[in-house]
Amino acid sequence: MDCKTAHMLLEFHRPHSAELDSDETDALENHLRDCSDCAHLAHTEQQADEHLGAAVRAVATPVDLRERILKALANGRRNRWRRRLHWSAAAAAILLAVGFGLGYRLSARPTIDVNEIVDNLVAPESSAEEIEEWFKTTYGVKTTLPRSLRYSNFITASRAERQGKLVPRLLFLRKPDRQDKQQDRQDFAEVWVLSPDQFDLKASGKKPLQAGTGRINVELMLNQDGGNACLILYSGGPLDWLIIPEQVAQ
Amino acid sequence: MHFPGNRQTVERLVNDHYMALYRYAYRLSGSAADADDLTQEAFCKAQACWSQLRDESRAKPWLFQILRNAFLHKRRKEQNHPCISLEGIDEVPGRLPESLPPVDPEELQSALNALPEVFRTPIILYYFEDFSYRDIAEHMDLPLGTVMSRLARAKIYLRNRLLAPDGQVLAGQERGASNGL
Repeated sequence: MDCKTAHMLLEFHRPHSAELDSDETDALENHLRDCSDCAHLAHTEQQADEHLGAAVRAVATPVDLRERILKALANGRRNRWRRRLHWSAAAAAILLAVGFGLGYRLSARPTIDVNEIVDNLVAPESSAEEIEEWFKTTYGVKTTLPRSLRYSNFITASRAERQGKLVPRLLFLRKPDRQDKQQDRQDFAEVWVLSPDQFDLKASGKKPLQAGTGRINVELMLNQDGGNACLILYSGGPLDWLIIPEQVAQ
Repeated sequence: MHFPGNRQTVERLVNDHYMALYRYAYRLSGSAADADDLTQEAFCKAQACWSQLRDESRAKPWLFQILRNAFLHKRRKEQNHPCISLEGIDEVPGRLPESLPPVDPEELQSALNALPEVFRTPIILYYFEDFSYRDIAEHMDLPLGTVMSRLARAKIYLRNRLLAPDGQVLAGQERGASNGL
């Protein structure tokens, strides 16, 4: 081994740590035995490392440090358990609340009783006043129905949602007249009674008032006095079977 | 062992390593109060993520790594740490005096504090003796060659500051290093 290689290996050589393999260590030691310059360099390097190393390692540890660490760890364990307990309690509370909610919803689902429905139906061919009274009794709401409709064709009424608002809905049906070729088919009309308190009827009047697909037509019938309007969904053609002509508001 | 089942294992870990960890923390931070905090923080973090330690025989480097991360995190928050540059330091050591002078503890810590962390960490671990070059490289996530180069320069810097006779520079080829180097 030459001195250059020995210097390079000395960079890695550490007495307390096996950085070189055994062959390299043997070769280096053989060289150091024969070369006084390298041996001197190795000796001074080792001496300086030991000198500085001892100084770097000379740090006094606080006497109570171990106890303080153990105390901090015990606190950490307690806090962790506490946190786990809190999370478990929170999770249990949420589950319980969800369980109760679900239970309540399931138990609160209504049953259907057709007899009860029939008992509560408004009679067909009822007058406007009778239907208004029925709305008051059944839903507890005061309703004003248009008088311009032919209530002789009235079938039934209910309260239904139209664009988020609950409004009265009336169903009208015209029976076919086999004798009259002009009226030998059955027509129906659904009339939604819209209050100006619930809908902007003025703005609605600026849009087209009629539309249709042929089989189903829609018409908005406004009240010129600013009262309730009628939204009519109907089958077939002219509505003279539903609306009394002289009372139609234009 | 899995936290929090075995308190004895954690206690054994403290008994085996708290002194070395404190020494490392002290040399890294240069302050007894910071070293105290860092040591406790490292053990608390270790306890909290004990399951990450796959091999208990690697507990010491793992703890040192946790402590260094805590130190670097703290440093990032504090910012502004003036350090000397080792750019001009030659990696070839100069001739040491026959009789080495005693090392002044305050001067030693001041010299370590002046080193950038990337030089300070390897030189501290090097002098702790039970960290191999490979351990240091793994600890810092650096190639072995980079670690060797930084170690050589940090060693020469410390020798110049602590072991050189007054006004003398041990490394022959010093070029433009600041702070009297």
